[in-house]
Amino acid sequence: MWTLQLLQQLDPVLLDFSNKRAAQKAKYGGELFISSFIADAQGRTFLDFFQEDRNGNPKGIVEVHL
Amino acid sequence: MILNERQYGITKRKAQEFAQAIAKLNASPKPTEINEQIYLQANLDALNSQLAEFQAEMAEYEELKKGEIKQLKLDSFEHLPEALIKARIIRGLTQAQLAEILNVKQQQVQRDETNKYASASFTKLLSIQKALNLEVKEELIFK
Repeated sequence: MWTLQLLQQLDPVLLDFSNKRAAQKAKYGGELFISSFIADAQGRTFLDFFQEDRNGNPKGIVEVHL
Repeated sequence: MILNERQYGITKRKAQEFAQAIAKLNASPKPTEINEQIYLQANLDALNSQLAEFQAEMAEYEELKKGEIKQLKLDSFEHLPEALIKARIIRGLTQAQLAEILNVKQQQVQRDETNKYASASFTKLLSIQKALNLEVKEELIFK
């Protein structure tokens, strides 16, 4: 379980979402979204958001515990 | 890239949801603790970043659908599949309608476009060019 304190230890580039997350993609070859980020007004999160493909079908994802 | 009306509708809905989430976060009381501030800002930035992509994709699809584009310029051969998808939308054809012309199932066109024609044969690409009534001007440059 991560804590908010970890945010200050995180490479700031992972919290740089400008320009379609270009900086984090360039440095890490991927992008980071915190799973608990709110993704709508009803309280759905980014974890839910990424489990649906662009056709509205359920999509499998892999969870990595840090 | 948005390929059809269904994807357009879903993207539009997602964009609305993200906009609502942004409004909700902006309306919430500003946290006093530094880590919570970082978290809130990152959540807002992530939403805005993704929302901007949705909006750009919707704008592109709307522009293609107008059917006013007369030619597409390819920077490289790799962009040919995307250009063929755009050409279909510009021609005002749905995936189902193109499938009918090509005499294949709609799911086949959906798969091909989703995979960006990665496993389509050259013969198929030629038949799509013919179905969409496209002229492709080729230029090979020896580097």
